[in-house]
Amino acid sequence: MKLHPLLTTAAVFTLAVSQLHAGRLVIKGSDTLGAKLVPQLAEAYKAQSPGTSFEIAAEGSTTGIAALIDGTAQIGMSSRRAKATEMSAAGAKGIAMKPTVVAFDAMGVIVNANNPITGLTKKQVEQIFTGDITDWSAVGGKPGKISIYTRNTSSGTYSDWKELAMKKRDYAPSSQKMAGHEQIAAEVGKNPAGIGYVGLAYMKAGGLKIVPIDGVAPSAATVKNKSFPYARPTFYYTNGDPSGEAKGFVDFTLSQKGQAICSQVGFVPVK
Amino acid sequence: MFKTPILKLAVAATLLTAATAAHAQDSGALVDKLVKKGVLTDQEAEEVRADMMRDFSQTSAGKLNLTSSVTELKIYGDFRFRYQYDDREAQIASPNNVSQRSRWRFRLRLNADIQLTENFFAGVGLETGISADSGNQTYDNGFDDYNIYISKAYLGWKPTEWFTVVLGKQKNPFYTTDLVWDPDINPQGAVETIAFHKMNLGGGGASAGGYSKDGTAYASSEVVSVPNWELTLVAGQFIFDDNNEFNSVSTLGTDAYMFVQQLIGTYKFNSNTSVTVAPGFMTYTAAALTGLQNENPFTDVGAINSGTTAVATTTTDAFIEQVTYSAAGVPTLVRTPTTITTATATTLRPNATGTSQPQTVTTNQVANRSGQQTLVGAASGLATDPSRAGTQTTTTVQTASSTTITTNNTTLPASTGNTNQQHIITAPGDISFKIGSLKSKFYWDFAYNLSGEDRYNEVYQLGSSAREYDDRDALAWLVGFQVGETKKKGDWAVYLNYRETGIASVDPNLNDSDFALGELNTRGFKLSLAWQPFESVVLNLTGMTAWNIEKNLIGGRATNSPAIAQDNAANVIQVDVNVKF
Repeated sequence: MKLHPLLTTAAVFTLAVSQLHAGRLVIKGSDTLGAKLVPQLAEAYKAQSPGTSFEIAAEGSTTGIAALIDGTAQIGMSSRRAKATEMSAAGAKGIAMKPTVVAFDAMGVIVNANNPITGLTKKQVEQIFTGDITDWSAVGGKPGKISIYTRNTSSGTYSDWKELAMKKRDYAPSSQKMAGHEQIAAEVGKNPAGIGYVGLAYMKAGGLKIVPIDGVAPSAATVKNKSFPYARPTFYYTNGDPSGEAKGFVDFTLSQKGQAICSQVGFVPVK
Repeated sequence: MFKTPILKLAVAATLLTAATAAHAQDSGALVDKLVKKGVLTDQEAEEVRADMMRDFSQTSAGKLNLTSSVTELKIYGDFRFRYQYDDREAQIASPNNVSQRSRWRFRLRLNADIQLTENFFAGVGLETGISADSGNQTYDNGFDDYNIYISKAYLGWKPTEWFTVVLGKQKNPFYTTDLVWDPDINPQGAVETIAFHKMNLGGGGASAGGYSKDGTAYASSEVVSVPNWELTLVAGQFIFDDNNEFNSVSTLGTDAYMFVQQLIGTYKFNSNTSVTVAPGFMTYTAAALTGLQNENPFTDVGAINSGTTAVATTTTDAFIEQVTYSAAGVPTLVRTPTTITTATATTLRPNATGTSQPQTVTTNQVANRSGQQTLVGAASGLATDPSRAGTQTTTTVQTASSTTITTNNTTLPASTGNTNQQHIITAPGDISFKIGSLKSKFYWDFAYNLSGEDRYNEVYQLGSSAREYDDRDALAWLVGFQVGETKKKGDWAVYLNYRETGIASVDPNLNDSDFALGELNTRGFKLSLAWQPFESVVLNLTGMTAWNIEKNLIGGRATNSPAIAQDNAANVIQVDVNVKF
């Protein structure tokens, strides 16, 4: 049978597009993951799978889960668990939201290196950041007003810290909002009365003291064994078990090489 | 990928079984513990959590998405199906006065109380019936659909245990009875509450009374310590009526604000017995009322519509007297009857039917006004005077023989304002105790309008009515007794009270719209029986019988629209089925 030339052309074009699309991975969601970690993982992945192209949009966990539900992303990055309403919306569209833990994000409490305190309890941290305690003498420090540094209100970390460390209570009105972890570390490093919280990657800045919480200092080990209280898992969400290019990237993230990148960027690897 | 699929299956099945809407999130702690103990890996734990969340998401609660500032949302309401029978006897019989009426009615209320972060709270209420003092909707024409209105919309802030401020249209915050405030009225404005007993001043426990958890209403609460006291100051500044400030008539160009203050004190003798007194004071700024939506609104429409004083026309009898002297000085008097008409402002009130029919007052009427008289010489009563020979003079002489007064319109004269003659002292209270296991109380209310006389004369235009103002007109009082309460299935209660409401005592726009159908100058009984046969259903039977304090108080606003005391008697029966949800 002789094929019509037009039909032949269409078949060839469809095959070509299909081949092109198969190597493209759309990842949307959390800026915690999407700012540094996932782009670096993508670069490393492309090095071993040159045919793959990435579209990464880091506009917040909510956008990542929504994109997965809408079918506009194969992977949704999230620094929080999906909400019941998101699960419900996904179920209505036949999407089976499957979380994969890719790394832990931990936040430690920092004070100025000259601050004499040697540790705080979880209760004291809550009291300090909510303004119940306003003087260092109440927690064993030198008398003086406590200066609190936090992330700004648009940051996901701002609300995460409320959930992790403040029983969802409000920050003290006197707390100062900083644009990023670097700024918090810099201010606390300069201010003997300062206190703040930063990710693990920022704890090595000068002039800081890392405060153990209930006797536990933040580290990859204490995060992994769950003894450090201020850590949270981060996720890739996929529609059921990942497949195709998405499976390849998830597997790469969980591989030794991928987890090493997590560690380099400041996350605690899950393996 | 699980350590053992069977283990994961077992854990998930166990948790899912327990993971009702209420437990789904609580089970997270158990999952954490299993991870810490090494029973589950982090990935397994997250998959179990996802399964639980997926299950939870299929419940009603899981589909609700609330903003992060909402810490608690309570949705509730009630539906009331009512049969009502009214029987009234009007003071002035008229074809328009309906003496008997039966109605099938319903009331639907939907409420949401919202707790917010940082000690804020808010509330919204939707209700049938546009009237401020009634949510009733009568089943009327065909199978019409009915409107629903915003009955509450407010924002509150409770920065400390002892201070609360609420802005907006809100539940009545005062300790009161329906003598002064219809329980359906949700006033609008600002309310501040200071609970002195929560200031750690010493003396009593700090947990009872004051605003409810959502801060929406003052309510007495359970006695927690003996002895105990509570003292709360409630101050309200309410927007009572909005007028256009550009209106040239002064009372129409100012807004009416109501200010109410009340001090609520409770002393608890023991866990069952307490006494509460709540002296208060309410006053208004001066303004005309426009467009109120009550079942029986008092807005003094006549004065607002006319804005002018009625005019009286006085017609006085007189004679034109022409005197002519002859050449010999003999007088001739020609007397011609005439009338003199003058128009003057008057405070005449309309008659009992509201129409200003001409009123005639005749005094010193003299005879012989039928025609011209010519009197010559001595008959004229004048002496012969040669010095006036050939002269003529003409004068008009008022004889005051008769006067006729008519008014030129049928409206009442303008009053000096419809709200400012209200300076009302209130003093409700109760003694609560138990009879056997039944909560009971003896309760009372008292109201006295310090401006009752002005209210009576200037607003109600009764100054020239059948009788003068009496101090009793400014007084209202109520005494009642309650046995039992309806809180749970099987409860019952009986309420009985007697009241007298002077015509100038309380605001006719605020008092109970059911008793005497909201009219003043009334006294009588209200008896209510309540039974809760099911957890969500309460049955009520209420009967009210009222008759007037002063009979034949006719005229002014007593009987002219908008009338506030047009009945000799009014009896009302209500049969209710209430469903709470």
